Amino acid sequence: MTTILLEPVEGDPAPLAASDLGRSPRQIAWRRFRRDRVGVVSGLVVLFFIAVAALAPVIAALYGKNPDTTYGLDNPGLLNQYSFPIGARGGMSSEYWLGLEPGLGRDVFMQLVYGARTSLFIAFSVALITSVFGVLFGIVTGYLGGRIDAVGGWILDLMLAFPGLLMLIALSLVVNDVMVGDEEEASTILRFATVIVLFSIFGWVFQARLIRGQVLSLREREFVDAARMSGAGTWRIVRRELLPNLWSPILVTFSIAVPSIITGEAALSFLGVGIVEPIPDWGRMVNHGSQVYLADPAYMLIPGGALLVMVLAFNLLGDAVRDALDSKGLR
Amino acid sequence: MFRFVIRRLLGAAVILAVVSFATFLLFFVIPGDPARLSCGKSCTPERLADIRASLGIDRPVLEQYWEYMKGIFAGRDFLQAGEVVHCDIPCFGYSFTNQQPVWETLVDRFPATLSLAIGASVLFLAVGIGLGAVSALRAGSLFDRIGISFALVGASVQIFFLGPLLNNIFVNQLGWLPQPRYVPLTDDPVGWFSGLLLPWLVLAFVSIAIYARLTRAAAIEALSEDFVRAGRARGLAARTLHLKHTGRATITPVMTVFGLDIATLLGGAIITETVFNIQGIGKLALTSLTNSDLPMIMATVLVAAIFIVLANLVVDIAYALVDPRVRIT
Repeated sequence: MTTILLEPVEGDPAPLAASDLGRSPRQIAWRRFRRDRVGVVSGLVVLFFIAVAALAPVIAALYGKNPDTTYGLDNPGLLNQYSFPIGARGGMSSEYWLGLEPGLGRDVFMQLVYGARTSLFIAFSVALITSVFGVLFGIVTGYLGGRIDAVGGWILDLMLAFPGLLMLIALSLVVNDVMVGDEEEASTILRFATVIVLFSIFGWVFQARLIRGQVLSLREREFVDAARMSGAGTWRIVRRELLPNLWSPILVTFSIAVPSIITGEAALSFLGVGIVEPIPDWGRMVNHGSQVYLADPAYMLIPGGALLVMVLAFNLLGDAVRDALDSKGLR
Repeated sequence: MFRFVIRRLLGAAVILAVVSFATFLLFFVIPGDPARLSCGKSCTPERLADIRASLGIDRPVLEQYWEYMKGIFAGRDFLQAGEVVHCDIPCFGYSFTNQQPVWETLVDRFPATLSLAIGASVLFLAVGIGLGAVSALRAGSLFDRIGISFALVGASVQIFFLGPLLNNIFVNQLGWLPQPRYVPLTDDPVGWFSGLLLPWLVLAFVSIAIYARLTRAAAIEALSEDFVRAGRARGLAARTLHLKHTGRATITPVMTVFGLDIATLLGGAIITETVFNIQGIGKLALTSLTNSDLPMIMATVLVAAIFIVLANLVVDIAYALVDPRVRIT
């Protein structure tokens, strides 16, 4: 998980094009985004992955298979004596589009589709939770200032001192231990909840730092002073003066957070402590694939490649969003 | 300046104390029965009693924590199999899985992690800063665009995908490189280099993007500053101008990010060490976690936290040295 932690710097706003005059900031940003070819393409790729994840049951129904059935074990002739799929590229065929999983013989295409669901569900949940919490924390500490801000800054420093990945692994093991003996069915939901809560605990710091920095500089601006002079209450200033100016940094941090959570979640599952069987997960697929690479390279290349393309698309989209909103200092 | 350093030092000490207490609570108090947990599947009543005694879990939490911290700074005595064993400073206790002193294991594993961190840092700093600097001087050129795209792919690729992939291709299939492993530099310099080359490359590749982009952005900004224009007007050679004037302004953001990165790496590159099976701190942490080896987990978390806090401290002080304006805060 690489997160870049930098105090935001104020970048020079790009000169306004003549055609942008008289348009709202939102319209300007949207026009800029549409002209960014890389941004539009990566946006479409991202939409594609989201659609696949959301429509997984529909795709499964059309395709006529599910991610759990062990086709290879149930039907002789699909796996060889060493449990590897028979046929080129991991047993790809018109029946099994991306081949079969070595060992159990589950359908790789279905695993991939449902794995996207796992990955994106966790990433968006965590990004949402951390954004809400980070923004609240940033506004409260940054705007109220004084002692509250000093304590807030100290809490952020403290949170950063915890080794993130190590704590994530450790906590998920502690939680597993506490949950031992739970019923099968509850544990799927609990698994997701655990991963989401743990990533949220360590993820909000990034958003909070950036938003706090923004609030600190916004608070000194004339329009905030003016609102305060004219007798606006704190809540009104936050809602009407600060929040509208925070939408760009919130959007930018959200779009940076999603790919880093996707990578982090997959890494945790790769290490065998995140999402466990039978929930499909790309990180775990890559792990399994790396062990059987020499006999069946397709099984590692497919989930690994999908992960790379998805994260790259999210990163490029994040760049495009940042450029369109013209908040260069945020990354 | 002196007061600034003292204040930062005190702040760092407080943060470490809180981190250690929180970690202690987390691992020794929250799990229902840490002794049972760390005894594992093949638990004998004698071992369970041993662990209970060494943990002292019947006593109040604060007392346990105090004992643990005392062990680090003053050493402490343990009851092991009926005998009193003295554990020297810095005492992090004994491993539950192999009864070895935790500190000795850490010291034993650290060179591998250090070698990995240094080699990778040299690579990603050199390539990242170089790429960023050239891109900044030729902003908008083909080199700029190709270089930045290359870096961006690196930032999006997962170590746990690229690592096994390259390992399988270059080690298992083509046989161009030996199986990655750590041999001490002093034993066999060639083996040290060739054994760590692939992990270095993989670890560096994923970090290059950050440095390239950071350097590029900072350098482009610095190049448009008045002092650079003034220097150019004075007729300074491009070499002096770029290296001394722009370089100095560019180095501070790079320093900040590098401080955090090197700290994280020194605390153990968990994924890289696992992928390439290098017996460093990261691999040790992961193994202890899966074995519920509490004293070892606690120590690896603490060591990692110490590196992070120290790195922040060094960066803060270095910042204050480079930029006097920072000292006021």
